[in-house]
Amino acid sequence: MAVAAVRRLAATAPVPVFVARGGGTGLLPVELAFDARLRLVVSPRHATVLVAAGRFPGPLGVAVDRVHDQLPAPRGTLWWTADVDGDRPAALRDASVVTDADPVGSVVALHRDLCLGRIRSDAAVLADDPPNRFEGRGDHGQGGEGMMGGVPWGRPMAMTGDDRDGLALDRLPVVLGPFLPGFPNGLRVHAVLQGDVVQEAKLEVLDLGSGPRLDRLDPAAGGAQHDLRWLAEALRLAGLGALAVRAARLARAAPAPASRAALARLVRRSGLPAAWSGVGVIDGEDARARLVRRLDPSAPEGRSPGPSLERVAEVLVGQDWSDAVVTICSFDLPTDRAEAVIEAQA
Amino acid sequence: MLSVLASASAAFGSVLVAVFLARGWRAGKKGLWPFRAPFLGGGISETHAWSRFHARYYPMTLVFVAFEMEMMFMYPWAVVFVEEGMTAFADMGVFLGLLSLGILYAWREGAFRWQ
Repeated sequence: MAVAAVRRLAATAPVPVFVARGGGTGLLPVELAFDARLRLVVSPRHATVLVAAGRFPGPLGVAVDRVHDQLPAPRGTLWWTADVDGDRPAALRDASVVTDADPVGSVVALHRDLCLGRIRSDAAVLADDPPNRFEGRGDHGQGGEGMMGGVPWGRPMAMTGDDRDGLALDRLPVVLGPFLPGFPNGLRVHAVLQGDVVQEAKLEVLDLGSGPRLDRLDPAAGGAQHDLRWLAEALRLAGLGALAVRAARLARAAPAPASRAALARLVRRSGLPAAWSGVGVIDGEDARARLVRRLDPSAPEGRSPGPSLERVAEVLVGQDWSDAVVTICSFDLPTDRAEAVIEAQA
Repeated sequence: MLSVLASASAAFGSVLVAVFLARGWRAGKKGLWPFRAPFLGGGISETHAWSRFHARYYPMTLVFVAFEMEMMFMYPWAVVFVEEGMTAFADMGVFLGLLSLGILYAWREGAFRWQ
């Protein structure tokens, strides 16, 4: 009785949603960003519903499987796509499919059914095994011999290396993305971290497939819309949620210059430009300058293509991870997002 | 009668706790490897994160702890301040002045720089 009441209450709460953007979606799906019935979260740990938007061929599909299994139960998956015959990774095999322009209703319904126990929580799709076998092997069950040998908890020990600060501490090789908040679609970073400082970085764009797109930008205002979507993503990344919602709302249609100017004023007052000052300098331009350029409604639309991935990777080395994410987010990297504008203008 | 009731409820409570713990332990045994992998946006970590890294707040912390301890001297001082008057005020002024020189020195040496 009491549990049923709690379930009913939970079913009416805003749905915590994690969005994994695949190919053909452009930037942050604004349809999901400003709706009060949803709450976009930055980690699958906080989500009940996984919205997989777009195409997920090959390695993108593997990544979506990993993220899918990281949602706590009860969890549900929704595949929002314009191409139902495309690649369908294991995580999306039993997912409800939405092809409409607006998936919010379906997300809410899925969440309600999950909370009320009408449908079962998604099962895990990956094997329930550690990355390497270790249990019961070696002197101490660490999967090997000696102090640094073995794979305790399935992963090898970190090894030391020289770092930026003249110390020789442990290096942490990680593969980050493509579904990190603020990352352009399909971008994956192979990084070596020490603490939160990037020691080595390599950027890679995963195959995004081809076919019909989900984001339909207004041909006349494609550039302005794209800028606003970019701004919504950047503001969300900076923790300015209310401003991000405002930008996302404007990005739905061709925005009026007056409302864009008002948004630009608010962003300037928020202190974000100052926080981004001096971060990620390429060709004498920092993240602040790139932000200010986007805020200007009179600026010519049509963006120059961003710098090459190699140049961005060079700038990332030696940065804190937070600055590295700001640097990556501040460009129009040559992935899916730039393509969206080109298509809209053609 | 009361003691029997108390023992019965204690026994019932213990059984309940044991059942919940056992259920939690069993649930924790299955389906967790993919779930408890660190969230890296669909990527993976090649080593685990039991790593030594540069604690860059370290000098700042030391300076903070040192100066926080100096503030202990202000408690006895506050007790005698009313009796002693201006003398105590001047003494504490000299003490805090010396401490401020220490802060300026730490500042010059870059202890407050985050790098």
